[in-house]
Amino acid sequence: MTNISRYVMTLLIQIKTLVVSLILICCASMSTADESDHHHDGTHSDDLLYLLQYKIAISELQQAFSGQSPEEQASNLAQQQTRFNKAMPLLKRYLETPESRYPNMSIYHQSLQSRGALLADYVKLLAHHSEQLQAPSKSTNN
Amino acid sequence: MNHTTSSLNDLNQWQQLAFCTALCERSFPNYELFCDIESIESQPARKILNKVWEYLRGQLKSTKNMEKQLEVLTDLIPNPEDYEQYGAYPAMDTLLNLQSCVQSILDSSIQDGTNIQMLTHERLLEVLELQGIDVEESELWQRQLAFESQIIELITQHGSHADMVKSLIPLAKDGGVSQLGICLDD
Repeated sequence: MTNISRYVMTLLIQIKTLVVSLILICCASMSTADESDHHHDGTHSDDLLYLLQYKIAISELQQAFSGQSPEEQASNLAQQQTRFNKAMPLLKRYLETPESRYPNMSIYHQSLQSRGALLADYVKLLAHHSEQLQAPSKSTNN
Repeated sequence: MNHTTSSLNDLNQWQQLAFCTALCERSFPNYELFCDIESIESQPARKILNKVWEYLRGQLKSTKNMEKQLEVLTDLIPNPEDYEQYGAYPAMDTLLNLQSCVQSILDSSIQDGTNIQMLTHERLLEVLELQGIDVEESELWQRQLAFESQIIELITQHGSHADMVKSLIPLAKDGGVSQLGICLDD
């Protein structure tokens, strides 16, 4: 295994620990979550597709948050939570994709980097969501 | 070994955006074919992609309008579950890439190069798998890797952004053939 692969693996483990903690915190506050409207059980590439879509949507919501009224902020947070709930099972499945899924080590290595980047992005979004959840009426620009 | 992934992490924001935009341009025939089949106008998305090129050239006077474009794009992205044809997925890939590009213009902290590249690769691998083609023997796969290397080589050269984009656009269009081998002139 190359140094970069070791680095990515270490990064993945560290981020995974953090993301699991954040997911647990987040899920605890998502009792009204709606998971029923996403029945997608597609392929690995589709998981990545939807993960990117949710990431962009959540990011947009978080950007808009600070300029919104308290009522809009409450709605914004609920929309973020709905998207997190849809994304988390996909994220889990995407992270669990075994090496055997990939035709060669080069593509597997690339996949690890993609997983690392995606996890880092979701950790950032979850952390920001948590901030906005605790202070919905305060400005929390990125 | 594919060297573009490690190189991608070294790219600055403009270069990552240029790389993603080039991937989007090359995949655009996939979206156009989907639009053709479903009788949907592809022009609104085309105009937004042109705006991104304009931004990369340094000719976009204001990014304010891009916020509006992001909203437009959100409405354009097809939900593959609403369509029977497989083509809805590559079409969605293209517009999602475009959406990421626009978002990256509005928020420079967003750098999706690695993920967009992986998304492009995953879709191509899936198509090859559906066709029972070995990736090592696939001409499309080799073309994709060569294409990415060419793009990275171009955008990491010294020169003005305008000049680079001038060379980048024809390279990204790649004769109108997408990474999945789709060409509307066929």
